[in-house]
Amino acid sequence: MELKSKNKAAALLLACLLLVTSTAVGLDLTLYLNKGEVTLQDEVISVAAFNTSEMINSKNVIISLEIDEELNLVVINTDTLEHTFTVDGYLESDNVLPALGEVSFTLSFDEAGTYRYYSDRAYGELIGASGVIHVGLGALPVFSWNLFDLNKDHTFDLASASATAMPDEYQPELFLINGRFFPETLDDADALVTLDLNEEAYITVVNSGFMDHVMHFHGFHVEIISSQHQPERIGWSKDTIPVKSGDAMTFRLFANIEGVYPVHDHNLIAVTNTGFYPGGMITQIHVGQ
Amino acid sequence: MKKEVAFFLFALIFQTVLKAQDVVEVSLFSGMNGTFQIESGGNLPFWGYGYYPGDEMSLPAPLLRFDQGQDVSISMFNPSPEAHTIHLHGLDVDQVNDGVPQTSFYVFPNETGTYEFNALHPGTYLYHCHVTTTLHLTMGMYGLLLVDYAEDQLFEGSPVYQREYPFLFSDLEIMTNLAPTEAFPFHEIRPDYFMINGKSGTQLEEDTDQHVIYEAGENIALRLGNMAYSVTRVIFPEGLNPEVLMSDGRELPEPFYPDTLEIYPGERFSVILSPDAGAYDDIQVEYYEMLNKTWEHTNTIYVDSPTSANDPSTALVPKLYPNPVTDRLYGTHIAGEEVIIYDLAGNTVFAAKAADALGGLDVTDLAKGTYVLHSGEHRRLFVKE
Repeated sequence: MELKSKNKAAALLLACLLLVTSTAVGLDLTLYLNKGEVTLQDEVISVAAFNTSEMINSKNVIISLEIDEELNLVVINTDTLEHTFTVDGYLESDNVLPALGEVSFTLSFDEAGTYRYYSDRAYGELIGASGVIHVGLGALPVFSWNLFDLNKDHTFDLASASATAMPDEYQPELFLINGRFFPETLDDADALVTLDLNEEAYITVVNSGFMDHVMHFHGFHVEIISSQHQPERIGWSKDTIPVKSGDAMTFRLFANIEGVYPVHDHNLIAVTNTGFYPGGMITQIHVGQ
Repeated sequence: MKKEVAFFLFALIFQTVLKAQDVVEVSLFSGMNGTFQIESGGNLPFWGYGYYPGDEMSLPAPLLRFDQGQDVSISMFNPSPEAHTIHLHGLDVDQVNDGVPQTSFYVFPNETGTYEFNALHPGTYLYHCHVTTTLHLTMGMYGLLLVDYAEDQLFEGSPVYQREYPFLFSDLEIMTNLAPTEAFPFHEIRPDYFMINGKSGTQLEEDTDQHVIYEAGENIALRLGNMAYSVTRVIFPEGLNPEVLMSDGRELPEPFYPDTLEIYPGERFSVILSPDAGAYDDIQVEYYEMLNKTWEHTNTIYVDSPTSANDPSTALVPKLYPNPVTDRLYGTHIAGEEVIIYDLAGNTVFAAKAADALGGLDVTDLAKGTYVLHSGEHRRLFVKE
């Protein structure tokens, strides 16, 4: 009898330890939803972004998880307007971020792939509050591209909530990857793909912009591993891939040839900066350099 | 003699292919002084490519075609006042041959650049200038490039087809083509003229070479590419039974059977049609603006029976294999009564009935070199080893 009690106590202790361990292997993360002006290569725009501090940065945090790993998230909204933290299919309700408030969420994903998180308010999503979550991509290197298009003046109208939607005659003039445009995309370690010869990698892509974008790879075909909006294309090997507005996709790249190869939007207005070529949505793959 | 001279000119004008250690060599030139007729009847300036020497530029640029496995060398002479390049879109060539001037090289005025690659994967590809791409593409510097599997199939194991039609969708902004120096800022370029193989609207009805023609029981291969600023939607009528087998030069894991096929800028698809008897409704190609996804234009690919077309044979593209050849040269899609083989000096070196080509032409006695097989309205080049 005493032995049984000891066994029960041991089992209880083990269960508690497992619980603690499970929590310990989760990811604790604090994000700040910031809104404000940033200057990108002399271009002043208004952006909203999920950052790791109260310092505004046009690049949203990239979140990396394992399958079923718990994301223990605290989101601090530094904006004077209410936002949400939304992940389609995973967190669509009870996800409001009150103005100047702080909210905790716990999330996990049971399928490998790429997901998008965002504020569903026009003064959030439409000025860039949208980021990448990639899940279960294992030990291979992972690069992430968060695509975004904007009209400078319109970002200020949206930020102030004087505009609540994209205009009928939307005229984007800046095209960003991870909050930067070419050539500064090459300074971003998540945007610039650097690999050894014959190394494999994943590229996770989210289109946070209003437009569809279509990424063309020089030098390589990549395999589409996942897509939230185009699941029928999973398994295709492509060099030119539409990434539809709101989609989150995963590509697998096998770097089988040395050299420097551009990757860019083949919607060719998007490889410009306020009309100047080259610019915008261009990055590169460097293999064995 | 007159014919020989004419053919010699043809050989110079349309394609120069020389054999050097099994490398197929193609000579092009780039230019900025082309004009083409638009649907309204007026002429519009364009920039583009043509075969060198002596040819005129075409919009789109000449269709380039190679057999799977061939080593290819494309040289481009640039007599125009600005630098250009050739980007081999989708062919996964190495850095130096990639055609992006900042990472490979410019072809400056009055210089010649050469691009080399192996045509490793059969499929549908594109080529285009990559200098100030936003402007040079809308001005017209693009074309289709096909890599053929050895038989009348898209790839090993795909359905056999009897006819084949390449269609390249593109667009342009008329004011930009009229005044390219005033095109800045480039992000405001908005196409307002929409083409299939350089034709639009009624031109596509009048030009029966652009019609899909088939007889009952035949399979038709469509090679579709989009070099437009717009998204295109290819709408297949009931009865054509499209089977999409390839995209971007790769076999799809599973074919699919759409009523509407959406093709984004830079994408390519290879499709087999297996029409029901009497299914002659036309294919519609819709163009949608990328910005707001609004409809811009619809063009038509006309689908005809052989009896309703002026000369169905002209729509067929003959294929030759093996190429290079050592003894027997086989041909399909051979039109007309006879085939004639010329050397590059324009001399007739071989003639046979067209029907014999299917069973193989004995070219054992031809000297090593490059030859042109003349079939109906088409010419194909082959190399005798």
